[in-house]
Order: sequence, then C-alpha cells, then structure tokens
Amino acid sequence: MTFNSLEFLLFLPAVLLGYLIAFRRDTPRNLWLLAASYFFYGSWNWKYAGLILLSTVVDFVLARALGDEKNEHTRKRLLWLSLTVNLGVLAFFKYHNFFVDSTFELAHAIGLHFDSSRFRHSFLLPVGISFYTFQTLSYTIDVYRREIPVERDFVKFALFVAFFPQLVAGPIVRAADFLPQLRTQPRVTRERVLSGMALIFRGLFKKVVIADLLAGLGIDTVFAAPQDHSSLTLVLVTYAYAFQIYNDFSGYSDVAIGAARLFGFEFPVNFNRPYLSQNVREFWTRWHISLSSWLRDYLYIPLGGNKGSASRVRVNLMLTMLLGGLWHGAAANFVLWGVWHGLLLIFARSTPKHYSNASILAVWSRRVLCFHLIVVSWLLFRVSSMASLREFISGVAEFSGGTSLSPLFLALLGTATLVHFSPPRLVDQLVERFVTMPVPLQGTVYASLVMLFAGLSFGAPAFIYFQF
Amino acid sequence: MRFKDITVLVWTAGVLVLAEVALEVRAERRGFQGYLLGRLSRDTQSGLSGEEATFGPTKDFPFRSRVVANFSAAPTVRLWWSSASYAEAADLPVDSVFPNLTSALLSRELGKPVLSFNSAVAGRTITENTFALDETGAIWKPSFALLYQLTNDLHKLAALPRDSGATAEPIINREQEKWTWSDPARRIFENTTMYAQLSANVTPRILELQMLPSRVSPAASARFKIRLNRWVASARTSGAAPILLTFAPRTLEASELSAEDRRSLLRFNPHLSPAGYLNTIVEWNEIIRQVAADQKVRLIDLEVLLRNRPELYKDYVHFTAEGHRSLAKILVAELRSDVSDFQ
Repeated sequence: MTFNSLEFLLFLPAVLLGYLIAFRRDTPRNLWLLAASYFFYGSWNWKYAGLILLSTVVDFVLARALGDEKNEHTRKRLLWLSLTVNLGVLAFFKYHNFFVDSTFELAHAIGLHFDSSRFRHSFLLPVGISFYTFQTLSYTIDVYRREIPVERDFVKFALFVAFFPQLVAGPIVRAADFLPQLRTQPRVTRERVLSGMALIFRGLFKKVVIADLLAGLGIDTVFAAPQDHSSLTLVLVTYAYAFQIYNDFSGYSDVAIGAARLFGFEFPVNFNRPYLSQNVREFWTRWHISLSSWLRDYLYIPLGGNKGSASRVRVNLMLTMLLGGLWHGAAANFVLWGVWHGLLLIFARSTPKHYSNASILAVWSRRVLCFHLIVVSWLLFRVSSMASLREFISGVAEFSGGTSLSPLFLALLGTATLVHFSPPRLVDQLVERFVTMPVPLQGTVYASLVMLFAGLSFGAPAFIYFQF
Repeated sequence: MRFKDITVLVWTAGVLVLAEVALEVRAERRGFQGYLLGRLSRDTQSGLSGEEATFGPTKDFPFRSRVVANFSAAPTVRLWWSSASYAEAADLPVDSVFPNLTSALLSRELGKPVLSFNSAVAGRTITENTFALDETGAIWKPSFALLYQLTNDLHKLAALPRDSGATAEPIINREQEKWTWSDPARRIFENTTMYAQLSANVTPRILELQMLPSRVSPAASARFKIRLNRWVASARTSGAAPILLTFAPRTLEASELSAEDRRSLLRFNPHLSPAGYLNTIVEWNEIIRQVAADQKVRLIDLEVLLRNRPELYKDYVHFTAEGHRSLAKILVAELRSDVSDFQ
C-alpha cells in the first residue's frame, strides 16, 4: 500500500489504536509495530516479506557473533559474510538482468551471438530492497567498527529493519539513531502527534498536489513523446521534473518522518531545500541526506575519502557516485547520472569551501548555476532510454517556441519554485502556528485535505523512489 | 501515550463522516440514496431459482435474459451475447434490451425458437467474457456467440505506458481475483456519496486539465487483438459460430462530445484524452475487422450501421430504450439468414 491510498488511511489509525493499547509494555508494543510493519510490506507481496526476514535473521546472528568475537580476522570474515549475503541478494534481484544484458550486448558488438533470455530471471524487484539492505549493512558495519553495541533483542532489531514508515523508500535510518529509541519507552505527546500529522499532510500535499499534478499536467506526456513538443515545452518540463522529483521524494520522507513521530520516534531530516545549494558539494548535504551520508561513511571514507593524492580522491568520488547512480537503478541512464555527479563533485573540489563573496547577487548566481547543473542531471534520471535522451536534446536544440502546457501547469511550477526558494522560516512558522490551533480546526483541515487528495488521486502515479 | 493525544485523528474522521452525511442529505433531497442514510443496491439478481423467476440473472441462470424453463424442448437457436453495460442496460426492463429483443424478433419472424443468453455484465472485459464462455458455454450450448465489447478493455489497456513492450496478455479472470483485506472498506468507500461526487465531478475536472496522451501504446493494441482471438477460439470450443461486432459509439468526433461525456470518459479512463479515446475506438474497430477476416468469422459492422444515429444514445456508448429497439431491428436484418439457415 502507498501512503496516498485508502488502505493506508485505514491502516495508520488502526496501528495507532493498537499501539495505544499495547503501549505500556515494551514487548507487546514492539511486537505490534513489527506485525504491522510486516503486514504493510506483505500487502504488496507477502512472499518478499520473507526476504526481509532472511536479511534480518542473517544480520542479527552475524552481528551477535561479531560482537562476541575477539579475533579480528574472524570478525572481518563475519563482516564479509554479512556484506556478501546482503549485497548478493540485492545484486541478484536488482542487477543480475542488467549485467546479463550488458554482457550480451558487448558480446553481440564483437560478433558473438547468444540468447540472453536463458540467463535472465523474471523475479520482481522487491520494493524497498535498496533501502533496507543499506540499513542493515550500516548496523553490521557499525558493530564491526565497535561504534554501537550489539542489539540482542531480536524483536527490537527486526523492528529497526522493518519499521513501516521508512521501510520502502527511506530515510535510511542508522542503527545508532533508531535502536536507542527502541530500547526506551517512546514519548508520545499531543504536541508530537499534532506535529507528526502536520508533517504527514505536508508530505502528501507535496506528493499529490504538486508532484502528481505536475506529472499529469505535462511531464509524463512530454517525456513519453518529446519529438511532438516544442523546445520551450521540453525546457519547462525539465525544470518541472526537478520539482516533481523533489516534492515526490521529500513528500514521502515527510510522511515517513511524520508517521514515525506519531509513534514517538524521531527520524533525521532527509531533505533541506536542496536547490538552495551554491555548489554540488552542498547539494549532497541537502538532498537525500540519509543516502549521501551513508555513501560517505560506508563507501567514500573506507575508500580513502579526501586522504591521499588528488587523483586518488577523484577516483574515490567517481566510484562513490557511480555506485550511487547504480543504487538508483540498473540502467545506463542511472550510471550516466552517477558519472555526471561524480564529475561535478570533482570539479567542486577545485572551488573554495567557503566563498569570499557573500553578496546576495553572488549567492543567488551560484544557486542558479548549481540548480541548472542539477536539472541537467535530472534529465538523465528521467529519460527511459538513451534514444529518448537524444530525442529530447535534439528537440531542445531546435529552439522552437510556443508551448501547449496549460496555465495551471505553469502556475503550479511557479508556486513550487517560489515555495522552495522562499525563506525557510516562513513555511516553518506557518506550520508551527497551524499546530497550535484548536484540534477541531486542525481535524477539519485534515478532513478537507483527505477529500482533496482522494479527488486528485484516482489514477495517480506511484512514488518515484518506490522503484528503487 | 494517552487516547487524548490522538484526538486529532478522531476529529478528522468525525468531520469526514459529517461531510458524508451532509452530502447524502443533499443527495436524498434530489432523489438519490446514499450509503449511511440509505443503501445502494447494484445486485440485479432476482435471488430466485430458475424455476421461480421469469428473467435472470438467477443462481441457476446467470444471464440477463428470459429464463430457459425447458432445456430439452424442440431444437432452438441459442444466441450467446458477450458484452458489457451496453447490453446489460441495468436501468431498462430485461426484455427491452437489444440481445433479448433480437432473439424475440427473430423467433417471431422465422417461426422458430431463438433463445438469448445475455452474458453481458457492466465492467466486463473481453477476457472476463471469455472466461464466462469457457466455464458455462458447454452447458448452454450456444449456436452463435456474438461479441460486442471494447471500452472496458480500452480502460484497462490504456494504462499501459506508451513505450511498454509488454505484449504478453496474461490470463487473469478479475472476477475471480483473490480477496484483499481492504476489499470491504473499498466497497463501502466506493458506495459513499463522497466517492460518487469526487469521481464524477472533481477528478474528471482535474483530468480535463491534464495533458493526456492521444494514443494508446502499440502493446495495448496488440493485447486487444490477443483478447479477440482468444474469445473467438473459446466460442468455437463451446460449439458456437463466433460473430464479431464492431463497436459503435455515438460519435467518433471529439468535438461532438458533450462536457458530461468528456467527464464521464475521463472518470473511467484517466489515461487517454477524449480524442485519444475515440481514435483508439477507430483503430480497434479496424483490428476487429482484421481478426474477423483472419479468423474467417462473421462480422457485423455496427459502427457503420449506426453511424450518424446520435438519437439512439443516452450517452456516448449506452443506448436509450428506442436505441435498443432500433439496434435489435438492425441485428435481426443481419442475422436473419444465419439463423434461418441454422440446423
């Protein structure tokens, strides 16, 4: 079930009521949440819920062994076993067919012809596999590094892995942040519930009203047939896609964080006005923060990070972003997207970390430039194939004017842009003021929003990051 | 954690219920029934067994036709109708829908019994009609099987992405799909006045603003052809001579669709523009003609026969009572020689 569905509208209050009943004691409370989380995942495909259980059991057992083991050599082998199992499962479901196809294409290019269909599998990609795999890996690696204690309660660990708000599309929550919260009784207060609800509805508004409407009002149709549209239309939908993907993904994160807050858990912020960044380095501290910090701590730094020669650092950056691109999907355009960001980060290293010119003009010039570099990367992200990318670019290069995009599309794009670039305190203050209003008024607003979302959601697309 | 911490949820639910009650009061004043204040019943079954009822559908006679009382009577011509809401016409008396009118007129003209098994059910696709034929065709032994069907398949297949290469047509009988936990709640929600208002008035207005595609994907058309071929094979397996009918909407010009037609189209099909919808009907009628030629199946080109007859329709695809009568006369003229020659 997705967050903007009737099923979730029924599921969340039901889980909350059960949580209220089971709240006083740790085990019933956590068991209830665990059962609800598996039910949530199983409603998509109950067979693949077994895969999460497998991952959970493997890492629980291996981490306990890691924690108890004193021999460093054995500890390393246990860590590698965990990495192999987790990444092996991920590789099988997500990358196997891609590598088979790529290999056969290469063979075909050099004159060798084989039937690749014999080597491909037809298993569905389990929803959220990239997210929960990274989450469990962070736990075992942190245990190996002795940065966190081993979790010896299976229910708590299983809940850390499978907690439904962040299970299918993040944020990737670190064990160091979440497990301590599971070890104590969560604090659920009226204020937290109200702020959690506000976050949930803000997230749904971003997704249903901004992201999905932008998609339906033009983005999907134009990207499906770029050759049928003018250059101006192609450029406008490219900008619009930048806001669609931001509102879709940050909207999901808002709902996830808000839902977790209802149960008394605090998850870290995952997006922080990324298009306000002045360079790509800053962008990656504001966009999908949980993933970028994961890649930094578990890939970039172990590879050597900023230490070593300049060329070594460039290799580390490129490798990290290449794998970051592949994490999003097993396709050439995601690889290209990763390479583009790798190049941007390499270039950003030659620019100063702190700018001497802090005038408004200079700051906004840097923001506009960075925004456009990111928009180009989203084009690589959105196209369905290299052929489609070529069609798109040649369409833009024609410099044809006029647009068939509706005034509503343009108004929505303008609004999304204004809201994103408005002072952060403005929106935060509005939300803070709203959650202090009388509860019946808040309930009325939420009921109206439910009806609005229902009216807009018939035939609506899924969350973009569900495919990862 | 205390119950009063989550009262905002109670208020939200309460306001939604109040809104539904208000909408239902408004609807009741206009002569409609809502879910909370009255019940909407879409069950057209008489609930009686075949021996007691004159018309189906019943437990033993799952057709919207006159119940066949004595199956072992003198040789009869049996017309099996695979269709959807246009032939079910739940708002009209059973014996005034065109399949039953056709058989009644043929019986009278030719002086021999002609029975109708009107297997039309609103929302059915060709696949579901094929399943129905597979399951009970051998029992009822149709002489001819007629297929008048397109729009529900269009609604489903239009959702395929433009660049979808998925031309494999799965064999899934949606009427027998497994129960999911949210089905009861979904049924309740879809019966509420709120849902009716949203899906009829709000969603289509939003969809009208959207830039919807004007073509279905080639994969969708390929799968439609597969469905037709499967139905033809199923008809033949049941012992019936298949007859394909091209689909006849009120108009094929998007400019002639009323605002209500457009909203209704978008309500059921949020994946295609209204012009795209009609273009697809033109394209898929060609596929029907092609399949009829390839499979050497009798074709009744209703799209041509009903062209420029807007007065026969109450909306873009459903007929008025007069429309059913006129259509039955046209079908009688088309089927007369097939039925009279039938031994």
